[in-house]
Amino acid sequence: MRLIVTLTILLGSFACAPVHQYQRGTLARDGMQLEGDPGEAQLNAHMLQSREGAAGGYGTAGGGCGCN
Amino acid sequence: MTLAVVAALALAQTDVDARLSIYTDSDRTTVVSPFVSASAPIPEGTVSAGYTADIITTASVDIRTMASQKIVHDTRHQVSVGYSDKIKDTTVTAGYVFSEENDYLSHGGSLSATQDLLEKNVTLGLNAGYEHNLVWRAGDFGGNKPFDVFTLGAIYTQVLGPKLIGSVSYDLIYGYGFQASPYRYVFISIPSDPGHVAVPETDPPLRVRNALTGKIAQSLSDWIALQGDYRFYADSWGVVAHTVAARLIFEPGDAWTVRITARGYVQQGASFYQPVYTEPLEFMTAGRELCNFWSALGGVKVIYNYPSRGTTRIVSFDAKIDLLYIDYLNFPALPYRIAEVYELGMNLRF
Repeated sequence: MRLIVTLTILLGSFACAPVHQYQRGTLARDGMQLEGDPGEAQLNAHMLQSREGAAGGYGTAGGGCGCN
Repeated sequence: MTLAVVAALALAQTDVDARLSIYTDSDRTTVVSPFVSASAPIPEGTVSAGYTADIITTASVDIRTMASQKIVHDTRHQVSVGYSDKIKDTTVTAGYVFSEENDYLSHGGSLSATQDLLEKNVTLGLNAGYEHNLVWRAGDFGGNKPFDVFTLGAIYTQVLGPKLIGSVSYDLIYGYGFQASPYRYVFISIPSDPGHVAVPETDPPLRVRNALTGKIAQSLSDWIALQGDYRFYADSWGVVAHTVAARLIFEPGDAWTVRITARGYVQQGASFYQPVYTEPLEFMTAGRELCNFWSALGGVKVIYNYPSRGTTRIVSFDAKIDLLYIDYLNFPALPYRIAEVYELGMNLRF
């Protein structure tokens, strides 16, 4: 765990200057949310994962196939 | 894990999400999926629950080439519950998912933790999950076969500037057990022998999947944002895939949001997949999802945020349409597939 935290701090400090709380108005907008709507994402991931050979990387879509 | 995501997003408010998705394609398949999830704060943390179903009507190429029935009806039900708690800058989430259909039973559990670091400029997330599945031919539960899945994932999210944020994630998925379709048969055409032999498909019992994903979101103006994703995928069956997606999001005011999506996917198929088998092999598949193919998806989503009323702080309605084209490069029974996905949703936050 210590190694992970140390690596994270190192990566973070190399990246950019810290963005303070008062500078984050734009980042709070819906259009800047990387994960989007979780319900829509779950349905979408399930639809694609049963039709493509690849899975993972976009959250898990629950068990079962529902594909036929 | 799905519930883990839902629960983690709503740590301090009651949230209800209801939607209906309809998938229909040129391979004679229609899937209607109602979905509802809710999460609410309790004195110590947040609890969540959800339900979704897939109501399937199909006469797809799998059925046309083998099954005696001309049209198949099936319904998959899925129930999930979750619990999240935030302690200082760490969020811990536990989830359980149960799903069943007439030939599939699944229990899954997950545990995840996210930690904010560097004045919340960095978020580190770790997750682990286990899923136990049973697969059988409809009407033959006694012949069920197990399939177990272990997942490990890590995600690193970094604020890169006041208008730029990105993340990198890695998922390792270890699957062991019966991973073929209990209905699909492989035709073996032996050149020296007229006719062909049909045998059940046989996939390798072990599949180790790796997915590395990068995402970025850049604000272009006060009301336009651009998002981009790239995913590299490789597994022990020889499947290698690249996925690229972009979303342009317009937020011209408080009421309306419009999102335009484009997604491309290209896949090198499994090493044991062959369009035609000329001799019996240890592993053989008739799965089109394991052949070489590419696909393109385009779509539009419109969200309307209804003005606040009483105790309901936010009510939003959304509508989406996606068009998907899949070009199968070496699957003789189905050269392509065109699909449409329609979705209506409503979200309430108290």
